[in-house]
Amino acid sequence: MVFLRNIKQSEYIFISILLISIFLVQPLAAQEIIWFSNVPPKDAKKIVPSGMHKLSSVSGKRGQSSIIQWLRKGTNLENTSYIQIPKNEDIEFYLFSPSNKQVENKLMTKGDKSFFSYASKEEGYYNAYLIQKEVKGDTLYITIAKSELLNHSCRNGHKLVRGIVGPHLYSEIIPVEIKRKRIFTEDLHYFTTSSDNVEYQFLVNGKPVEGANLTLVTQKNWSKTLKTNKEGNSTFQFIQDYFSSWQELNNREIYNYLLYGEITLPTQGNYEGKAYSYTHYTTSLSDGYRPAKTMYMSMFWAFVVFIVTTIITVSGIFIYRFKRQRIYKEIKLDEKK
Amino acid sequence: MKKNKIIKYINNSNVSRFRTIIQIAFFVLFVYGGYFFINIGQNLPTFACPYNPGSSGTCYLISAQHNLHTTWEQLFSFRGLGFITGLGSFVLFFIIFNKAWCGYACPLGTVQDWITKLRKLTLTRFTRYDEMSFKRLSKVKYVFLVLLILIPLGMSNSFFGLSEISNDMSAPFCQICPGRTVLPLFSGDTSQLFIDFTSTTTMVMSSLGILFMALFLVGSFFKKRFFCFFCPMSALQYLFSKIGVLRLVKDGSKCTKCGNCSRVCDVGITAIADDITSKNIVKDDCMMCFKCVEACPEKGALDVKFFNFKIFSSTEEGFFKRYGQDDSLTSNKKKDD
Repeated sequence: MVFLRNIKQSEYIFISILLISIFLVQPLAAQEIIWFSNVPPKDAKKIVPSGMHKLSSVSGKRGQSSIIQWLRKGTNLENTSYIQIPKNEDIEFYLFSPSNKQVENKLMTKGDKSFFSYASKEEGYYNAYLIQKEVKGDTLYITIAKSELLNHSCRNGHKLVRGIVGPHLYSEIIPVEIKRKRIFTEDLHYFTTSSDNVEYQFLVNGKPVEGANLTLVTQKNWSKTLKTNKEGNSTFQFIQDYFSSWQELNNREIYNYLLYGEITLPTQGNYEGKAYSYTHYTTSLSDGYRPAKTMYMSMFWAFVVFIVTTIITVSGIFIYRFKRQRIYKEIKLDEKK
Repeated sequence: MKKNKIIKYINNSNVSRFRTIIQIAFFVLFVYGGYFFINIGQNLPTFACPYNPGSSGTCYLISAQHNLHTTWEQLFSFRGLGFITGLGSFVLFFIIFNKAWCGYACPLGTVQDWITKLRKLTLTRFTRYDEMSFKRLSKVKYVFLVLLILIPLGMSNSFFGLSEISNDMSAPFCQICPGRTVLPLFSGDTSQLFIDFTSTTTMVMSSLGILFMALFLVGSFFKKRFFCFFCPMSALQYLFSKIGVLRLVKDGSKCTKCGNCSRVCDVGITAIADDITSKNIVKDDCMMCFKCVEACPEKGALDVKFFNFKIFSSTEEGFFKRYGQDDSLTSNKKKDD
């Protein structure tokens, strides 16, 4: 207490500012997360879900539709704003097809919202990346947004599925990214559902990084942060953080999730004439998830239907056979007559 | 001389035993082949069920339903090529073995044969349809075939101004097919045994799926090849049966109408004995197991031909070698299995 009495007013102010800074730094940094959203803004017109994975799409000429994804900023998934990238902003945008070919595309801006759209022709995952670079002080800030957009129609068949579903990485162009690890039985119908354990890997220049913080934010802003292990992996269990009455439960309702990670590395260099000593990477991966299948499927009722049908059928057959049984009667024929 | 010896050896051999081995081989291929990265194709004329995680191929019925789930405009445009090529590859697969796909390759047919063996072990009497029931019930498979064509079309198109059918019908026949519920069990997968409460349609269809599974298991126990009688794949195959290179040919002038062929027929086709005018004796319910050829004691009355080459013929010697100990056939009594 004596210590506190001896502190001068100016020192109080300094300590207060220091404490406030410490508490605010993280949220302020978190607000800088940029991510791709499949959920259209409210004023978007003629948006229809496309394909098995319900990606937002718009109709084009000759009945061809294009997938459309918007750019958003912030970690409050319900309320983050759709953002506009100014024309003079230094950004890079990449879109890769499932066959690893770079698809000619540009990030477009209409009104106050930036988005990209493309004609989805190949079966498999299209990878979209946005890279934003900026030097502040002695640090180069690189912000990356990533999205894996799965295109599949059962009409196109299910050939070579295992080759198609595997994650594609572009470490020569994309310095930092989060990879969703595929499960062994994964096919083109895969959809993350609540209760699933999903493993993510944090990679810098294609190599896994230990001790990086990965944060998962779900639609209702439930969040969890985990440190990556030696292999750069973190496993998140998706929770169901929204509840409705049983009758209103819609298994087709897709909710957003956002996963982001940050890391600062001592890297000396020069960007656009500005020297820097550190590089701070922020990378995001956004996708959708659904309610767990167990919420709307019942094995118990299947068992009841099975047992009832079996009992009725077997009983019916035995009753039918029993009714057709004839009492043995010996008929003696008198051949003489 | 050597050629005659080979022919004699084949004609005297036990084809049913050979068939059992082939059936097991095909069962392993279609049910577990996927685990060994085998992919035969997606238009197979047999129940290689993609709902089974170990499946090495896809039954044509699911491909056809997906291809037909489209608008008229798309069906009669480039999208229609998918349907035509799918049907083309189905026919190419089919013409090689004709309806022997059912008797030798179908995993669901093999399961039914195993259930029949189980019945024999329990000494339970089997069931046969009377002639009238046989004629009436054999039309059911055509009803299923028409529905599995019309329902997917009705999901994307309006018939007679009526509203479109719910997309929850998806691939309607697959939802009620016992292949979807039974075959995954052999891979230890019970995930298809559920009632889906997502919507009224899914609830009804998934309940029907479980109901048909129970009927399949009970029916196959009491009636040999119970499900084959209602199988739309069998109906579809019969449409192309005449161009098949594997044929079952009858010489009516050599037939004595002893009835052995119809008595051993698992499906219970009586026409094979009654019809002495037709040369091509493959009926819509026939699965080309060739038990009839085995049981025919008249030389050359029944022949199996591949590209007009006789590969298996009925002979008196072969008949007595196979059935010499079986009084039910040699003394012309009704075989009670």
